[in-house]
Amino acid sequence: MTEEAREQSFARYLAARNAVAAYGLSEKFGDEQNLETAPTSTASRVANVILISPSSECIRLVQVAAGKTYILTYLRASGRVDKTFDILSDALVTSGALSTQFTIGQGGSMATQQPSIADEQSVEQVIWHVRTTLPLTYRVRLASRLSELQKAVQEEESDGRGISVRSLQHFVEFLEANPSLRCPAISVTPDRNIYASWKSGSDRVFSIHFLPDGEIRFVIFRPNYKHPGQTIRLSGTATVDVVMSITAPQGVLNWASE
Amino acid sequence: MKGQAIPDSDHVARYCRASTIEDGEILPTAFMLREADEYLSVNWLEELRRSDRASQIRDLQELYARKLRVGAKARIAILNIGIVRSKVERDSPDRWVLRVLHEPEPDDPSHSGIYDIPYDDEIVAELIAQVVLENHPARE
Repeated sequence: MTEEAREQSFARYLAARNAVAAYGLSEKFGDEQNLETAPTSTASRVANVILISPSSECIRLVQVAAGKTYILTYLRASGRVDKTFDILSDALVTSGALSTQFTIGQGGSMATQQPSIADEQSVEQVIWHVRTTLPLTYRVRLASRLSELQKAVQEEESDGRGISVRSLQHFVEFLEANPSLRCPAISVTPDRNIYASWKSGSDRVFSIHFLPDGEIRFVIFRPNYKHPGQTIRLSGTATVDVVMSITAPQGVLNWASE
Repeated sequence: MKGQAIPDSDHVARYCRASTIEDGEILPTAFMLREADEYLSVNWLEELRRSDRASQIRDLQELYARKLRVGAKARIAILNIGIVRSKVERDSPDRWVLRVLHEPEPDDPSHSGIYDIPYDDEIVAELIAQVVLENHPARE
């Protein structure tokens, strides 16, 4: 993997959401010369840091100052990548400079030992995440649309609850994993889940219903190229992480990507 | 009469929540069911016994204002029953056959239902969204 690809992958996975705050901290900050450091006991002050790891990684997170710039050191067996990301809001990190390091273990062992903060994320936090991490070409428009939908659902429903947070998280995770997709049309199902559609006429449709448990249901309409004028229509179920590998052979990227 | 099949030549109106609308366009989610829903609620336009569409829409707007929390961007989709039924039967892979039945309620005599829309397959909602005849504001 090239460094650029590694950084992109890392950025995507950072953007993914789940929190691993205040966990597995060690004290290996001696080499950060220009950063104010703090003892491990300050770990509790990063209780809202949002990170996820699909594999064994070592991640160093440092808030340089009380502001929006954070440095993350991404350590893998293959080497070290230092990168500055504007990824965390002041609202998500408690005030005051701090630094710490934590290691994310294999196979989701973290999740079994400590509840994910993703469970506690609000729709507004996910929308903020969209506004700061998704492709520049549509992040503002998408965040605005999601805010509009959240408000609409809250107004429509007598209980005042909005969009399903888990459905929204899976939708954002999907977009992060597929940055070549253009911004979809988005609406909300009666069960408050996100429904995204990429369309180009009535015979080029690719829609995904993001269920809260990580499963998805998709619909594809596409031209039958061997029989002009006819349309192939199919639907199915999958999970967020494999849906593109399932549907791409149907040619959906011809109209769903930039 | 409750349970009466509505003729294919007639029309129904579907209240479409604001969260199913984007830039004024009615999206397929407007025609999806919750798992517990037996049918998709609609109103039988001819049963309103009005002479023109504008009067029918006004009646519906008043009805929705009484029954629902009508969002500012909510819309009314007008569907022809025959077109919907034939579209879905012809183009859905499983040849879904929909029924549209009159389900009058005391405060909503034109209330009706589109039956047999699958809850767990969005393809029918996608097909219905493709045959919306008209699109009107849901509130005055």
